[in-house]
Amino acid sequence: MNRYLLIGLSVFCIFMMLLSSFSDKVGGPFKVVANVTVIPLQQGINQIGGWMGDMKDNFQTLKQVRAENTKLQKQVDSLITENNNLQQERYELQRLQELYQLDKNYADYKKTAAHVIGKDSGNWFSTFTIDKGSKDGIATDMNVMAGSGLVGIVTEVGPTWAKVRSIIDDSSNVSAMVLSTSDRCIVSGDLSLMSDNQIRFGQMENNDNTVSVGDRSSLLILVINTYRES
Amino acid sequence: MKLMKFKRVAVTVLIVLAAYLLQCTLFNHLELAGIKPNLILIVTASFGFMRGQKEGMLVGFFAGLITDIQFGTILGFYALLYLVIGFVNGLFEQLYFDEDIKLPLFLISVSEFLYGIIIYLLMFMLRSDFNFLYYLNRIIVPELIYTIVITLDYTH
Repeated sequence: MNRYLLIGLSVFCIFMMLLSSFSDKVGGPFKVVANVTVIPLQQGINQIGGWMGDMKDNFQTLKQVRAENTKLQKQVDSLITENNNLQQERYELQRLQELYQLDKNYADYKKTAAHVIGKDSGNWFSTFTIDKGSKDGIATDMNVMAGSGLVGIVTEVGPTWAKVRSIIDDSSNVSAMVLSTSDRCIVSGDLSLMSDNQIRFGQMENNDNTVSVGDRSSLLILVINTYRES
Repeated sequence: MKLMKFKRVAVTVLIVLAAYLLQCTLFNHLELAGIKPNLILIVTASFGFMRGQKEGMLVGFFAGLITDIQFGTILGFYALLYLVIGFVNGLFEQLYFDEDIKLPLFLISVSEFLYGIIIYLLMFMLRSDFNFLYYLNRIIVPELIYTIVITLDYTH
């Protein structure tokens, strides 16, 4: 009896795997289940975690807060100087954009803020779930950014959630362009470099332009990160 | 009698859900060197050798299915994997005694090791990524050790 159950369920699983590799619509009915059960719980846990984190912060003593304040003041001062330098670089960026007749700055792209409510439950892949979905206008293949850099791409969408494959995931490949030389290349995630906080940079055009450590690369105009010698 | 069975099913579902939620929320913060333990595997294997093949299979199937829906690339992959793990652990039900810790530890270690190997074979080797020793050292073995530690805490 048990063997029949095993064979039956295995056949069902294989059937689903084949179906889902050929079409995207298979996940439909299952996503409804996920909506009703898991996602609200994860959002709840996320909120509780945030609240507990806030409570923990309230227990810091006044001395600690004052020391932090002086440190932050120094940071603010250095940031103001850096900001001034960046303003100058911005003018150069505008000039480069005009050269390429790119008329949309990524700051003009429509953006929605979201929270991460779950991370991949295994150690092999790097995907996470956010709490915005098709009801908020999210669709597959949309880019996901954090701060000022690209962190991933949306692979699946439900009504109130979306699954994002991060750029450091082993199967991620993104075409990018080095800003200083305008060379194109491919940036791919790699599991073996993940622990060193690096991703792979490859297939660059073989021409005379040199790329040096510290150059920034970008996906069109979305910035990925600064280039580091591997 | 029916009520008892219904309660048992409900408790099982709750345990699986709780394990899954813990795995993808809290356990991310308990990472050591970037490795999390695999609580879903522990729950599936435990139901397998404690309650038999059928319960092990069903728990594995549903736990794998939830994982697939949210985090899998093809639907059914983790479901099949955990289904088989649940079934194989269920084969050892006759050998299981409540007080003994060696059998659960051994079964969970072997399940965890096979889980890592199969994921490597199907997801990485088939993409011509032959860096097996690296994955063995950095992911399979640390995950194995961490899962064993969690099992020891759980059975005490």
